[in-house]
Amino acid sequence: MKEMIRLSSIKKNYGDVKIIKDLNFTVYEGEFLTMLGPSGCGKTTTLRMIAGFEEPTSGEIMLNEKPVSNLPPYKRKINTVFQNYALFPHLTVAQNVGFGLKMAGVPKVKRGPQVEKMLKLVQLEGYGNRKLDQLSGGQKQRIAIARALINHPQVLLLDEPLSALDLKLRKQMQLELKRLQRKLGITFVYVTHDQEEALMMSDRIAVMNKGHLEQIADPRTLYEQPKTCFVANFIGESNIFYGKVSEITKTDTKVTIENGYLTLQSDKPVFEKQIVNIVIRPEKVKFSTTEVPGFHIPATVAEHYYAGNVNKSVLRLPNGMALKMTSAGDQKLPEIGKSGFVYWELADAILIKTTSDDVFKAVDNPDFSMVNQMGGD
Amino acid sequence: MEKSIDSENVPITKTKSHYFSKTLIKWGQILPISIWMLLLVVIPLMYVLIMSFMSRDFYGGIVYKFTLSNFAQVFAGQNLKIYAQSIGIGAVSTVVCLLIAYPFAMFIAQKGPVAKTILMALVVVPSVSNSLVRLFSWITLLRKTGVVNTTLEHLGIIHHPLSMVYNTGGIVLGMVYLLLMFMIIPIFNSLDRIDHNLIEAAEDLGATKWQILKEIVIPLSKPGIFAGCIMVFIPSLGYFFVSDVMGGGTSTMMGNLIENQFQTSRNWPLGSAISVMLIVLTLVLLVLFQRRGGDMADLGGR
Repeated sequence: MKEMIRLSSIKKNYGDVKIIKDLNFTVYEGEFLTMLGPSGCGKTTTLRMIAGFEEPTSGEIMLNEKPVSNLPPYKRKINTVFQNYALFPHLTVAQNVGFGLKMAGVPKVKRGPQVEKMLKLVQLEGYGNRKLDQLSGGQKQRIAIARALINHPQVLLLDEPLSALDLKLRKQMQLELKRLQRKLGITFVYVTHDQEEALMMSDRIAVMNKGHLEQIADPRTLYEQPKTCFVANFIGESNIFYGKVSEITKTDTKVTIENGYLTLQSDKPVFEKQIVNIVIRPEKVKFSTTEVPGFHIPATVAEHYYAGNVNKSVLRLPNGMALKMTSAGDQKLPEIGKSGFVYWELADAILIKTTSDDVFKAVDNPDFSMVNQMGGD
Repeated sequence: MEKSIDSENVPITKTKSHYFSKTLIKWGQILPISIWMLLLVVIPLMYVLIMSFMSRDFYGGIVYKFTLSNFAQVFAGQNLKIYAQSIGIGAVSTVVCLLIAYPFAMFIAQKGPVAKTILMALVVVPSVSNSLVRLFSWITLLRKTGVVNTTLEHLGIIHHPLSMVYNTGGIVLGMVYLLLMFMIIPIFNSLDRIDHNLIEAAEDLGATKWQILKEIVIPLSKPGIFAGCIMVFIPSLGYFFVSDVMGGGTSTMMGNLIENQFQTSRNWPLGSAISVMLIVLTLVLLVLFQRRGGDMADLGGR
């Protein structure tokens, strides 16, 4: 695949504050890449550096294998869709869409048909003469996209473009954006803090946290093989255990956790006394009132929440930890207070090798301790 | 049960006294300003309006008899010349103010929040001292024997003193000096309100600095420009003392004409009629401003 954008060793400081710490990744031609992370993780700053509104403190941004870090925005074949649309309030729809052409010196007669073509692309044909205050939020968003596309950019940058829309419209626009991207084959770099949006739309997701890249991969890999506890916790729901490898035998590996131990498949590349995190997704957790063969931990049913298509349950382990479990919505649930056993396929347990600055304990995570509290005694 | 009896009785008295105290506070808040406005704005304006339709005897005494002749005199030949002159000086002053204020307001609008507050305060600060005193200090500087001329002559740069005041240019200087702030404030407000994202969006779409100014910044600051022009042009027609001090009585402006009717000519009805015309002109400009989508708050300052 052809390389479109490459960030190498990008650093960005505002005074003494390090916003971006050594960022490296590549965006390929025609790809839908999403930068995902909590607010303040540096994703918007990164996007603004690609657009040319900010200069990196150090490092180089390559567009089509040519350095562009010091070029102003208008000298890059990149256009941006802004978070709050940033449409020109004193201009009509057509004047907004045709702005890029006008700046490039395209005469008025030639602009008209191109503007109409763009409006057709975003399904707003015939809206050219309208004023902006006659448009809904979703329509404004489409105008912003049409305006950004009219100069045929090689890359379209989108900074949380759907965050101002209500849920239903947002879902609809997600599909529409994805369809548009496939149709045009333009590289999209998308910024969002909404993990569901990222999973649905992206070819690849770059998960960012505190100014560095946690993991870049396709959505399925991110969900099934998170490399860090941050990724496991940010994308989807997780149960994260913290423990120490205590015994490696031919058949399995035992990890001691607080007041107990977990079993891992024997092929996991760990060594004895290694500190590890083990992630198990709630939908992989199973509960049985009778003892099951193989790996299991005793547990008590603490809470049930009905969420339509799924049931969300909280199970309490002997060490006091709350374990999240989701099951199909139509499934019959064990009574609250009932004792039994939790178990899962050993293959479903995800091993995360812990480094000193990425140790995950339940107390680190407010969500998690909240579940603990919800469990009650 | 006890609780419900309580809650039935207490709130009624509470609501009543609450209502009275609320009404009292409301009247207490608006009464002083109402009396003030009535005594100092409404009554004098009504008096001027009525006066403009009254007749006058030979010695300048007012005869309470309805007539339209004052308004006919308003448009008499020699007066039209004065209006043209006033409007000319007003227009030049407005344009000069705009040319100075716009770049300056843009300069302030690009500063950080602290610098903005300080600079805007500095714009307003001179207005706390008396404007006549400030005009006379210009005279001290610029008259033939003033500081500037003497210095230049001593330095041998000029041999004859320059006439910088006591002429039309002096009037324009005075007007611009006193009214500049009323141009800066609304323009700054409208520039400050422009969303920075719009500038970035224009830049992103290939606009150069000049194109951003022409296509985005100036069109979006039009309400401020228009408000500033009104705020400068209208007072410039009425500031008779500027022409008195800086013009040395060489040219008569609308304000001087009105002043003369009340003082020298003792023709109060005619003075009133010209004043009414000036008020009507102001109202027309304000209506135009609002029709063009201007914000009245821009004219009142903040």
